[in-house]
Order: sequence, then C-alpha cells, then structure tokens
Amino acid sequence: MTPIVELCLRITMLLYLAGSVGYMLYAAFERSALREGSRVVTVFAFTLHCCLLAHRIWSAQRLPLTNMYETLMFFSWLVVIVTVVAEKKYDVHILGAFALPVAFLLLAATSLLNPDVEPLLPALRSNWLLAHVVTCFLAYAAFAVACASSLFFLIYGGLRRLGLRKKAGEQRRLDLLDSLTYRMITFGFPFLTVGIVTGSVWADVSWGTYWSWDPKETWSLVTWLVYALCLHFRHVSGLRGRWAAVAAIVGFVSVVITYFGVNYLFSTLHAYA
Amino acid sequence: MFLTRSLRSMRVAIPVLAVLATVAALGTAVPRGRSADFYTETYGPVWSALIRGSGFDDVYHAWWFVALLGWLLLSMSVCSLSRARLLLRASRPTPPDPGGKVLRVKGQGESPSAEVVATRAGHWLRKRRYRVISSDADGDGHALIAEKGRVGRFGSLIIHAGAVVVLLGGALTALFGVSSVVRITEGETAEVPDTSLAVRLHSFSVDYHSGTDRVKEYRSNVSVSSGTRLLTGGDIAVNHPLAAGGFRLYQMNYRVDVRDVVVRARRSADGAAAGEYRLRVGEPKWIPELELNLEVTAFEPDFIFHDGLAASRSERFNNPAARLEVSAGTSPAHGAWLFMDAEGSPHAEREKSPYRFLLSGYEPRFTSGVKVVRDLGRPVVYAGFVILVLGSFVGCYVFHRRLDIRIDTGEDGRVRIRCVAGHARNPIDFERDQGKLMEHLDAIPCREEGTES
Repeated sequence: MTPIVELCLRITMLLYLAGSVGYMLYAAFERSALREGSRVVTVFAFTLHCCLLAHRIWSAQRLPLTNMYETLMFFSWLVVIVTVVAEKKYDVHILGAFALPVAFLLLAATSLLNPDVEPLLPALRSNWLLAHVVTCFLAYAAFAVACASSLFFLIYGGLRRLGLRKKAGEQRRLDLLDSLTYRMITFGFPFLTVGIVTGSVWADVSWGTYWSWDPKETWSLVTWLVYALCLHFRHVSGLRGRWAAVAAIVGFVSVVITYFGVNYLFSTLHAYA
Repeated sequence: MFLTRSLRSMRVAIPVLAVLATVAALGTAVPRGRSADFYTETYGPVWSALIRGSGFDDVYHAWWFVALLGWLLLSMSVCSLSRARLLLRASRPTPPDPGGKVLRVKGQGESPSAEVVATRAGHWLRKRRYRVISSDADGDGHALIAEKGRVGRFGSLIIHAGAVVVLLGGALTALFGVSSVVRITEGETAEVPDTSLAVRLHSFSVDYHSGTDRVKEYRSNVSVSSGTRLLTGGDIAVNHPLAAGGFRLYQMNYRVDVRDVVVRARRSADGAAAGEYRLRVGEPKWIPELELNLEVTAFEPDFIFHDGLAASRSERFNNPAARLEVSAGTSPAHGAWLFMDAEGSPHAEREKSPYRFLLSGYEPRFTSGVKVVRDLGRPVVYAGFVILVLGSFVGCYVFHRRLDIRIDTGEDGRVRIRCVAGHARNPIDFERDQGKLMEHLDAIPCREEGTES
C-alpha cells in the first residue's frame, strides 16, 4: 500500500469516527447543526472511500471482492450507502449513530490484514463471484441498518418507559423505527436469498455439489432462517415492537458470525473469503 | 385430524425452524465424520459419548435432523396448499367497504364537486399504478376501489413452494446421487467406482500468474468411456466441468509426482564419471558397478529447509532435490540431498565417501483429482431456486394495497372523503401514499357558493 493510500484510509476512518460521534450527539440532543455537520463529514468520508475503492479496482484490475481485506472495504462502503438512502427516504436521521461506527470498525479491521493485491485462486476465477458476493453484502448492509433502527427503537422505547423521553410524537418515531426495521429486512432478505442461491450454483459448478454443509454455507442458511423467522413473527403472529427489534439484532449477530466467525473459528472451503 | 392441524400450525412450524437453525449452527462447531478416538481425545470420554450418541458427529445426516427437514417439507406443503385456497378466495373482487373514517371535508358547494374530487382522485391513483374501479355509491356520491400489488399476497406462498421444491431436489440427490473422486496419473486410465465409466488422463497442464509461483489455472485433458464406447473427451478445469453420459466431471485438485529420477555418479578419488542411473522413487536398486544399493526416498520440486525439515516452497520445479540413500551390503544406509547443481556424498563421513552423486534428471508426472458426479436432484433444486428467488422478491417488494374511498356530499353541502385503507405489511410506504393522495386532493380548489364549477 502506498503512503498516500494509507493516509487516505486513515483519514476516511477518522472522518467516519467523527461522523459517528456527531450522529450520536444528534441522537441525544437533536440539534440540527449536529445533524448537518455529521452529514457533511460523512459525505467527505464517503468520497474518500470511493477513491480508495477505485484505487483498489485499478490496482487489482478487478472488483475488490476476493478476500477479507477487500470485502471489509466493500461492506463498509455499502453500509454507508444503505444508511444514507434509508435516512433520506424515510426521514430518519439517527441511523448514522450506529451505522457509521460499523463502517469505521470494518475499515479499521483492514489494518490487521495484508493489503497486498493477491492473484486470484483458480476457484475464484468465475463470473459467479460478482453476483454471489455483491448480493450477500447488499443484504448484510441492509441488515446492519435494520439492527441500527432496532437498537434505537429499544433505546428510545426504554427511555420512554422510564419517563425520560416525553416528547410529543415519540410514539410516532417508535412506529417509524419499527417499520424501518421491517422494511430493511424485507429489502435485504431477497438479496440474501439470491446470494445463497448463486453461492450454491457456483459451488456446484466448482466443486460438484450445491450444498455440502460447509460452515460458511450452514451459517448463511442459519442467517436466512433467522430472518425468515423475523418475517414469520411479523406476518403471522403480528409481532412488532420490542421483540421484533430483538429478533432483528439476533439476525445481525448471525450475520457477523457468518462473515467473521466462520473464517476464524472453523475450517471451511471459504477460507479465502 | 391432529397430524394435519400440527402440520398447518405456526406454533409447531416456528419452533421446528428455530430448532433446525440452532442445530445447524451447533453442528458447525463439531468436526464431522471423525473417529471415536478423535472425539475422545478432543472432548473427553463423556462428551465424546454424548456427541456420537446424539449423532452430532455427523449431525446433518442424523436421522432426527433428516426427520426435522422432512417435517418442514410436509408442513410447508400442507400450509401452502391451505393458504393457496384462502388467497384465491380472497382475490375475488369484493364490493367497496361502506365504512371508513372521514379523512377530509372539502369546502362549500354542491355535489358536482364530489364528482370532480372523485375524478381527480381516480386519475391520481391510476398514475400511481393503482387499478381503480369507480362506481356510484347507491346513487349517493362516488365509490372508488384502488388496488395494487395484489400478487404480493402470493409471495410467501411462492417462497414456500420454492423451498419445498429445493428440499425435494435435495432428497433426490441424497437418495440417488452418485459421487466419486478418482486420482488419475498422466497417461493412465482410472475406473470410476459404482459406474461403468473409465477416465483416461491424456495430459495435465498448470498455468501460473505471470511473475509469480501462484497457480492461475490447471486443467486435465481427458477422454471418458463406458465399456468400449467413447463418450466424450475434452478439458476439465476448475469452474469448467465436463459432461459425459449423464455424469459431470469436476477438476478438484492435483499432485505433482516424480516417479523416476536420474542420478549421475562420480568417483571421489579422481572425479572420473562412474555412470548414470535411473532410479524409481521409493524402490531400492542394487548397482553392481558401484557395489552399492541406491534408493531415492523423497523428492521436493522447490526444496527448502523449514523448521529443520525438508519441504517444498512451491510445486514449481524451481529447486528440485532428491534424497538419495546409499548402503553397501548390510551396512546402514546414509543419505544426502542431491540437487541439479550441487553434488551430495551420502556417507557417515562425507569426505570418505567413494562416490559423489548429482541429480541429473527427473520425470514429473501429474496426478489429477477428478470428481465424477451424477445428480438427478440438481435440475429440481435449480427449479426450486428460481421459484424461491421469485417468491422472495414478490413477497418482500410487492405490497398489496387497497383503498376503499367514498366521496359524497354531506347534509351541510360539503364534500366528504372517507377512506378504508388496507395494506399488506408495509405501513410506512402506504401511509406516505395516502398522505400524498390527500395533499393532492387538498390542492383541488373548493367551489364557492353561487359560482360555476
């Protein structure tokens, strides 16, 4: 990694961290100046992040999707995009208080990994790589935002029950957060389905079996089942509010285990991921 | 019937799903298919007995896990069939709901304003891709039914159908699938167990990323026959399988072996050549001219010493080395590593060795690992995947929305807009739609008393 790229990466991380602090202060004090300032910082950070990705694409002569270093950068980039779009579409301005720390941590984790561009292994030289990885991470980013809105639902709901938040329209805000959680899960679930399906087809083309209960495959199925349960609870049992928020957080824990835990705790054919 | 009720019951299905997810997750923590000794050494005797007794040593094939999957398959089938009936019934047109709360009361004026409002509302809704049916509400005002995304109600049904098809395909694979891995050395033929196929490896090649020792691609050039009939021939590479007679051949891995090496001997005393000898790795050979027993016991293509042990840095023949063991009669053997550019002297005391040896040649031969698969379940599973993906997008992105709007004129002459709103699961976007409709209707100018409309 060249010094300028390393500097860019550090500045991006610091800007995300600054944006996180700004959003957290906004979530606590609801001053519009904090919101606007955090947005400006996030835009700068995101612009630098795009430059980092573009540089990686230029260096590697391919999309940055083939190892943990690259997918961390890509995942954090997607988390920011989905957060910004969700904030704008649903007029909820506190998501950054969780999502930006996630983006910061993902980028910070890249400093523990080898940044060198490695030539592709034979198994990764496939057109399925793009479809499989992009759809999976798009789903993960949506679930991260669902986790964010769930956390705020629980925090605001708890403060309200304790009598610490008595503002007018607070119930409306809680309803909005609850609906946003649901909407993010429904946005991400089909992409996770496509991600698992494309992964299975690729495994079949590469290894001759579409499902081998590999830890990565199994945990992605567990994640899919957890979110399927979330949707079942909502549609069939009408479960909303606190328990729906808890279920969404459990789902994101499953995502974290699928993405990180499997690579470091188990022996898996996905070792390069 | 109790069984049918249980199969249809969400109270049963949700715990089954939760148990499947939990067991699947726990199963990743326990290595599968190992020996009893492995589990005892790793987990202790008590946990080992528990793991093996409960089937967690191969949990995904344990009878109770398969039974849970079977229950899920049956449950989804029964649920889907009963839900399909309900959904089809609910899809039939229904008359407009006469109730609903008053959302707006507009201006002054007589009933033509109600017609204008109804027309504008219908026009706006059609632009938003609602299907609008308007009618006179029993001669008293106007009724509109605006509906869209009805197919979204079938989303969960399609997802379940897809999952059922995938599970059925998986069952076909488990019951009738054939899979074998054969190792074939260049120039040789291997028979595939449990089939009538034989695979001959004509040649094997490896490509490397330029300027590196990293493998880019490797491929086997094979021909596949069944009995005496040639089925097909061609290249197999990773991600590029070969189809042959209902089977597919996959390139899994490879190994490079050196079967024969050539060793050149030279007399230590005067440096005169003492002959060149072809030796098979692992097979000792008596050389009468030298009165020595020679055996090549190991070969490394890219020799390196690592942690005091000989190893190979890569599979490329960058620094080939052969381990030569020399013995004379009943005396113990002594060994040394031979290189292409450096001699070795296998002797207890090197300087007393009568001969010095050099590695002068070797014949690498690739052994290709090829997986041969016949899977009748694959097309069924793929069909299930398509249905599953379609169902997930329909169920998660297409939301059924229905507005029953009644526009009439009250006794005070003001136009009233009443609405009964129904939505499937996406209140956040539906409420925005409703809000925008009301904003649009608010913008319709009220007709003042005594003026033309």
